[in-house]
Amino acid sequence: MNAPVSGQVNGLEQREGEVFDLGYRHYDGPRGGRGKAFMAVYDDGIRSVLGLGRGVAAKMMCGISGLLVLGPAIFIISVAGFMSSFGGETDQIPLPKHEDYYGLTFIILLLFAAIVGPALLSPDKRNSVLPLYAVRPLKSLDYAIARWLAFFTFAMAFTIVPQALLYLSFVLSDDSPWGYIKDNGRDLWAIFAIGLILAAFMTSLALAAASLTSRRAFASAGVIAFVFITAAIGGFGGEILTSDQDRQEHAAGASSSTGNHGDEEVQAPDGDAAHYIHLLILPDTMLAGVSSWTFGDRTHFPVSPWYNAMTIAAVIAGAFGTMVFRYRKFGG
Amino acid sequence: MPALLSARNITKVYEDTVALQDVTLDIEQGMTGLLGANGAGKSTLMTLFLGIIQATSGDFQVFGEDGGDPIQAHRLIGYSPEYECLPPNVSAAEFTTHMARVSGLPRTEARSRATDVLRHVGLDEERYRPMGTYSTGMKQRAKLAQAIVHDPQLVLLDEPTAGLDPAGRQEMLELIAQTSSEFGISMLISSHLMGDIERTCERIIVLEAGGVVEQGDVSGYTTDTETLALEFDEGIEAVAASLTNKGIAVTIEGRALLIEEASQDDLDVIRDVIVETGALLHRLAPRTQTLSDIFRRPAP
Repeated sequence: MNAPVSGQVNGLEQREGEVFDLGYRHYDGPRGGRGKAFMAVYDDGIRSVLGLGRGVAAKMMCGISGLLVLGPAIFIISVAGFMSSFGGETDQIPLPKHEDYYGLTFIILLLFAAIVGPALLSPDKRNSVLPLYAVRPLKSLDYAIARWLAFFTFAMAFTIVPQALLYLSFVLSDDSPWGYIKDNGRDLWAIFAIGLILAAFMTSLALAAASLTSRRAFASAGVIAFVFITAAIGGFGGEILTSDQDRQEHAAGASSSTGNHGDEEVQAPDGDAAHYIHLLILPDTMLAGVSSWTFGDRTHFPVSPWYNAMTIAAVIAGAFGTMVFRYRKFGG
Repeated sequence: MPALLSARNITKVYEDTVALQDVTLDIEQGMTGLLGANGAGKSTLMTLFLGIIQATSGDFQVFGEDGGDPIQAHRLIGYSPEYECLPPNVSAAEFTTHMARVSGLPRTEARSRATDVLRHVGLDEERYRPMGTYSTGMKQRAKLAQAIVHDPQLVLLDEPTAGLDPAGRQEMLELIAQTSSEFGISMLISSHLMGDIERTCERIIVLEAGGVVEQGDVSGYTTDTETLALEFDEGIEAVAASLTNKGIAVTIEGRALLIEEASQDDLDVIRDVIVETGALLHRLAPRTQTLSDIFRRPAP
């Protein structure tokens, strides 16, 4: 439908002033199915994390988190660059390495997941938007998994990009870049592997919490509480078990004339209960444990890395399963 | 042509509450009104057709197909729920575009259709504002926009005039009726207000306590009756007294005087009495039955 405003002027057809009244029109183009709907929900999740089409606060949250997780990498690269430009040996200063990096940014990653992650599920529930998805060519699980993947994309970027920048700076600042890559090729695989695991861990925890409540604040508090409470149980449980064992060993030492504990530090042997309960300190299990698995023996953790991997896998599976259960169907 | 939606002996039970009891009905093309008090089962019936909830027993079909897998049907259906369902921090342009994409439209088409549809519903200027700042009327329009953005064949609108004042209701109903008639989109509208359905719909289904009590063409319920209605601005009592004296039975209902089965002679008498008493006659016509009368009928 169009309505020319001025038609003919002085016998000349004037087209410049033509106004197209585009009200409602029929649509005869292609209509996608579940795949298109899934991608639309994924894209919207990405826009939601970036805050596009939303308020200023939403935009700032993602930007600030991004800067904070990149910050240490930029700092390390700057210091290394500064040292080498003055002919200094970067090896001489204890700059954090790949295996140390998440120790610096884990809390920021956790806060990012806790604060931004629930925005992908909770508000739709709180604002009763889900019935509008329920009447589109989409299943409930498609919706939840698309949202999960949207946040996972950011979590991956936030875990991998700073490490990749760090790796690049190590390569470029080395006397023999190609030699560095040959010697440290395993690091690239390790960066990707731990990034993947850490991202899946953060995403699953944040979206599981969001699937349980329609209030973002509760979900955020839930994520942080889960990590801290399990860590507290792991920490205190480990202390109690260690001191129990300590007492038992002292008692055994007193009754035995050959007891030679003397000044030796009391150390629970690998694989004992204290170390297993210590696995509940998820940041440690995640960082030191999984790092020792991915980065080889450069980090130390008392129990086999497989136990760490299994603990983290159990948390990811449990959290992902919780979300899947909550989104098994849209209605009652 | 097969019915767009059809239900056969549908029953829905929630724990100890029967929401729908043995409902059998067809929704044809055009505008259909679903009338009933709150709790009559209107929303339950709509969400059953949409596949959001499952029936306890009975069968239903959507576009002639069994309603088991609604994914295909959802590409051609639009829905606007009764309650608020719009994210408050998102603009109407962003949200409507997103909903078009979730309905399967390509990105560029979704964006241009969202713009066109928002203009159609009268939200052109405000489309970039967060929807949390909208008035109730604007929210109802945004809800309609997301329901029609993918050019569906059938739209289910649950209480689309809820929360609107009489003028707002009238505008919203005109917009819905125009969208349906000009673009051939069939609509199922639920309301607890008879006036809404009477003004806009061609067919009506009346639900009461989970059961269908009436269904048919609206025109069938609003035909002229044998009752003559005379509305007066003043002097109704004098006319009533005079006509009673002359042996014509009358009933007063508000400002109207009702006379059953008036003959030609009665009409002459009535004319003369009005002249004699000097009463101010406002309107004289056969009384039209309204949908309200359906509810006034004594239960069989």
